[in-house]
Amino acid sequence: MSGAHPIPATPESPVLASIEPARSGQAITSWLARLETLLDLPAPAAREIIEELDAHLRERSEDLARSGTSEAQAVHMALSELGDVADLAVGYRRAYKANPWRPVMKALLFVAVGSAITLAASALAPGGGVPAGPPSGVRVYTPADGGWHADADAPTTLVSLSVEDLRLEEVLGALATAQGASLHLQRHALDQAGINIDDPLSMSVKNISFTRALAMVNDSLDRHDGDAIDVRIADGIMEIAPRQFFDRRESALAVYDIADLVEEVEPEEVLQLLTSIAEPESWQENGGELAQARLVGGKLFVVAPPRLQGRVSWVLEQLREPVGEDGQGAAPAREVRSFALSHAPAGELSLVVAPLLDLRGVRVTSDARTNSLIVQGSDAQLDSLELLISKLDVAAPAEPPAER
Amino acid sequence: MATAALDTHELIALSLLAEGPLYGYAISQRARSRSSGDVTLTPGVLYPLLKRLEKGGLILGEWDEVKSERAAGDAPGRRRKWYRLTPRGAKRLHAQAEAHRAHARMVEAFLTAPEGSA
Repeated sequence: MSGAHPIPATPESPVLASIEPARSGQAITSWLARLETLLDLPAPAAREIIEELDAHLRERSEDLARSGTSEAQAVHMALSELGDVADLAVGYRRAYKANPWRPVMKALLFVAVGSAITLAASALAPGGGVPAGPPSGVRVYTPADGGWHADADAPTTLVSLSVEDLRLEEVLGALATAQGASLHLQRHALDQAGINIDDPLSMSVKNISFTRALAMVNDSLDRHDGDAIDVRIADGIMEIAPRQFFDRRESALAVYDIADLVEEVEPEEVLQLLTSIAEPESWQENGGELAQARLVGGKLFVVAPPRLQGRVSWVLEQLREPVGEDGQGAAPAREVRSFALSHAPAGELSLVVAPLLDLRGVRVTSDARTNSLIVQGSDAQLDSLELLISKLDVAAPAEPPAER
Repeated sequence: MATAALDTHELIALSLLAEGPLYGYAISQRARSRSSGDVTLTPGVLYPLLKRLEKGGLILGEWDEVKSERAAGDAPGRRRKWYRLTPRGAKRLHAQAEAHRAHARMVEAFLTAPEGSA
């Protein structure tokens, strides 16, 4: 090997080519270090990625060096094949289901956990922390249909459990017993999702909800999303399977009438909104296999598990909600307008319209000097008032002949 | 869009893994040699793709300590991550292959249509 000889600079990369071979390994190391900070993934996940890419880079640059490229040049080529370090980090983050939406959803779902705890909510919620109230004006998606089968009741019993290296199957058995149910494992499905019921588990908890206990089991097994362990309880049987199993079994067709929506929004926009924010990775449109949506006429057909259908209808509801009139958002701007009257005396007219408008928070006063009505209210209210006034403020019909 | 379901890179990776376990670099090499150099599955695309397939349960990655079979002077203890197809991955491959064939047939019908007679 050309070892100690200085390497002549090449026109392509004068800088890198002049690096001593001993330092080319360092180029890989520092490149990977940069990637690691950009990845922003949990340490074990990031370490695995780095190790895999490190092996790739070294093998690739060895191959290139074997075919006659200088070692430094080979490293440079191997690195440039990987592309921009930031792009790669984005690619990885996207591949990880921890897409940018997920942390937001977690936070939202966590605050949604109220008295009616649902499994979907608490399974997604992180292990600890006190739920903070939503910022005012923010609406929170409440998974009304989250996780529980229609005829199953969410367990309310509190769980206390202290186990050391107990097999997963036995831990689940203990949880079932605590609910007075017998355990039924969907073994094949669990196996396919890579959940090993023989995995040892250690946990020590006191008086926590069943759903929280299951969430902790999932956390400690590093199970998330479709691969998380889920449960249905019905007829005294606690059925355990990966969430995707229940998702598939419960998947149903729902039809949403969105004719009213598509008058204002492009139908494609509605579809795109749904598939990009409600569990994006689940939609067939995004390469997923859990859910599909089709638009025909003014109807939206969605095949998806109840959990996802709940989100779809919630999103559609939000689209229907008029902006800024939800009582929590900014109050509609109020303005003052004066209406100069041509025929009716302002004082009289104010007496007529005031009771009609008072109910809606409109204030009316009259100014006798200019014969005007002065009204305070929202734009829309004032517009309708204008219409009302134009009907009332007309020349009085000729006096009917006095019948006397 | 119907074409969104047609992911060529995914199809290539899955079908190569259907022939047996491979590690990342070997997948890119094989893709290149199989296509006589036409297909370049650049590592910047390949590795995130493998991660996505792994997360989706379509392939399974396992670390293996290897001594490179090619270089005797290789540092001992280099590890490689080997991927293999899961039953779910095999199912996806089948569906993807069908979708690609259907797409090819559809396009072919236009390509083989008699060209304007001169």
